[in-house]
Amino acid sequence: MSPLSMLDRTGTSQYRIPDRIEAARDDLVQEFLADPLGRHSDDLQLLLAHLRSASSIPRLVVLRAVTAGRWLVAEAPARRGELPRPLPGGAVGSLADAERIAFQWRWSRLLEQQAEPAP
Amino acid sequence: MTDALPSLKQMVGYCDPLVAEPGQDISFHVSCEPGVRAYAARIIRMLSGDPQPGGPGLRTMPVADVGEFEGQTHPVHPGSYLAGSCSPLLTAGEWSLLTLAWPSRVTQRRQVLVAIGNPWTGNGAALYLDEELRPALAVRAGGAVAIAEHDRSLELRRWHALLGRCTRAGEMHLRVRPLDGEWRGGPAPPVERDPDQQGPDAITIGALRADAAGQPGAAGFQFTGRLERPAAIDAALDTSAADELLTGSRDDLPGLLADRTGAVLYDLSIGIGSWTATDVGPGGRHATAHNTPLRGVRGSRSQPGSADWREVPEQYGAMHFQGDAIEDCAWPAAFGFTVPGDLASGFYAAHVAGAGGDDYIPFFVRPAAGAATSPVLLVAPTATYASYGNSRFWWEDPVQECVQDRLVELGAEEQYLIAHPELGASSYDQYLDGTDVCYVSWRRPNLNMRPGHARYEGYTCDLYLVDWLDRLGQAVDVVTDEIVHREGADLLGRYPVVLTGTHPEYMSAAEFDAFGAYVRGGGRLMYMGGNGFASNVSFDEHRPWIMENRRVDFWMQGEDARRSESHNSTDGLRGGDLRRIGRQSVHLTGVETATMGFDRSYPYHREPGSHDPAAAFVFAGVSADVLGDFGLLGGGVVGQEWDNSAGHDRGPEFLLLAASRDHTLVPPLFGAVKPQYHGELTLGFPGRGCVFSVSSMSWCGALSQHDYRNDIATITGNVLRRFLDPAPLVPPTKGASDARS
Repeated sequence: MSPLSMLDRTGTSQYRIPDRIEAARDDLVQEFLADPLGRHSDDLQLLLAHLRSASSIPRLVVLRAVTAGRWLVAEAPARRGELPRPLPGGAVGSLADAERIAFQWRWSRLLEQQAEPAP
Repeated sequence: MTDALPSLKQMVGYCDPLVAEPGQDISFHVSCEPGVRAYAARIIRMLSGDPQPGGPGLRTMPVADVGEFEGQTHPVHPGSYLAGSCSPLLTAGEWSLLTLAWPSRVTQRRQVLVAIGNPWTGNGAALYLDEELRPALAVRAGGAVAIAEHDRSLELRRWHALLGRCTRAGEMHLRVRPLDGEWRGGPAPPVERDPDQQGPDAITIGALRADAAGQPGAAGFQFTGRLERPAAIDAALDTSAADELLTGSRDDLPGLLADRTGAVLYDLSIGIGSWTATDVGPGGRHATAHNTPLRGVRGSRSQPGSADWREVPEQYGAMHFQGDAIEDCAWPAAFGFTVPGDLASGFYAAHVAGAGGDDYIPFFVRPAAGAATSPVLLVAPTATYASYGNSRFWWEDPVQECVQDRLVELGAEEQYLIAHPELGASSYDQYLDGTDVCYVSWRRPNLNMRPGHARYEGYTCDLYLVDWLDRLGQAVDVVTDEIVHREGADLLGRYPVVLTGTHPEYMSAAEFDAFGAYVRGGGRLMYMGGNGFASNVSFDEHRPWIMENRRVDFWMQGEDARRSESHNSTDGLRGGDLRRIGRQSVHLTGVETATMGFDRSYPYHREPGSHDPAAAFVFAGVSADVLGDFGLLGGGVVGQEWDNSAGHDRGPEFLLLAASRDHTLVPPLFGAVKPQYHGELTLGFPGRGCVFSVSSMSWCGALSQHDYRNDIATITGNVLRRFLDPAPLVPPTKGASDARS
């Protein structure tokens, strides 16, 4: 049985989350990279919703490292009993940098998937 | 004193009971990672729990040094099963093992359905499924294990009848049929056995115990799925006799078994509210459930339209066994603590610390039963702590990152939970077969309930309130949800003022009713959080460490289960929204759950109702129209989860004091449960009482800001002082200016 996501149980359905990346929207990329933890425009918020809820790529998390003030961006465990898998180059000194790495990682992978011919 | 939090966890623990009164003993159970050779333990009072910059710090008060202890690593044995006894004569002579089975997961290992003793380690027999769900029968004979195997796998989530039998001559037979199909299978080569030798006297359903004595917790090879009428019979049954026992009327079972003095058959439709499996055989050898197999679930006889097991228990004659359910870690007590007679009621913890790490094991001290030592009572939202305890959805589901608009940060507790799946999950999670978790237990570490937890909600945030009350010099008595459930309005009525915690989402129906009776009778309630009074849970009477939470309105499993398995097994009430069982929070607090949004928090903007003379005391010394555009939880006071009255006529007895506005896209995208999702600060006068509702989980995160001198602290203090003043409160005049519908 494939459980639903909790996302299927919340929200007002007033807004439609896009199912594709618009590669031309570099303005949204720049907006995010400039202030990953700031308040975003509606268009960027919708793009982030797509990046974060996309089921075709692994979920990402950020691990607190043993050293205070350090974090690791990692793939979340795919199933219970597995461990997170740190991304190469995922060691960061701020949560804002962790967001930048996660954004770019997702953006590039989803763009690659979009470019692949449909089966 | 101020402590530092560890970077990563090297030891974890739990206590029993969670709340104690003066004179009562508490035991603490600790397991260390290998390499931790020793640790020191002390009892401390928890006064605040947020070490982040700008926060009130991790502030504790020493109570007692308990001593130094050897670091020990203790295992956890998850997996539900029934343990019982049977006659040692049962497997002498001829016998049968049979059951109805509905497997729900391929586990890549043997799954035992019915076992007498343990044929692999000693004497006995077992009916089981192999690694590919093919039925098999194992018998210990002549010093070896003889196996009869079926050639077809059972289908997942389909009911099957299984019969394994052995004759006096040692002939083994294994027969299987889907309930809507024919019996298949046949004899296996005979085995050499002494039919007059007595067998083991231990029977296990849904697992295999390691030895005949079968210590609880030491079982393995768990079955994942549902079983109905598991049985061991002292006769080599044919398939028609098996059909009578497995599919006939439950009323006929005692008669069918009357001559079988060694027979054991568990009719799981009896005693659904208990942890006992009732044997309807002549010996009445009832079995005991371990690790919370799910009861009140549909069996093979369920009919469309059935919804409540209390009305048609025969349709709910199954138990759902889970290989990853955990009720009791059963670690030995590492140390104990007797609550001194003069210890003030409050939030406490055992702090254990050794090389490389530490842990805080929270507990609560209540006043002696029947006594009140302060005019103020704080109800710690322990039902919510239990519900979220060991949450895994945080990283297993995309919802959390979406709703907080940033990556999910896994702190020491989450990293420990990921490395230790055996500590189980929360009622927000699913078992490995996709079934929603319904029972949670205090007899395991609850790693969400830790000061400084990365999630910054729940326990850590309730300590904001504790911290503020302590700095105010206001003594408070503390009780838990379970205590209010048991002692009701009589308990609350001893206090002129009752405060909730910051997230009192879950409570029993009886507890909700107690709050209602308290307020109607003249009590003064400060609802200090959000998403409160929302959902129903059941505190188990038989095992007080277990709480049942069927979040049926948000279950991830199918609509069928949501419709027909919504009633708690432990008290029979419908789980999920309290309003679905006639308890509307809006009539108590003036608000109900509106939305969530952990990305940022918002200020309140004063509404005309705030200028009503009835609310003048609330705003004494406050001139601003914008309230709380600061705070530790998202930079405002309306955040995380919050409430409003949209869709209801809250009535003239409630004043709308302030509301939030200008929200981000996060609440409507991922949080809102209704179209209007602003927050509302209200003051109400239902019955003879009064209720002040901050309606947001973030409110208390502002109390400490600007050195505790800010509008939010002022407003909260104004209300507390006025509520403590016995002078009557004057309700608003009807038609008070309340612009928002």
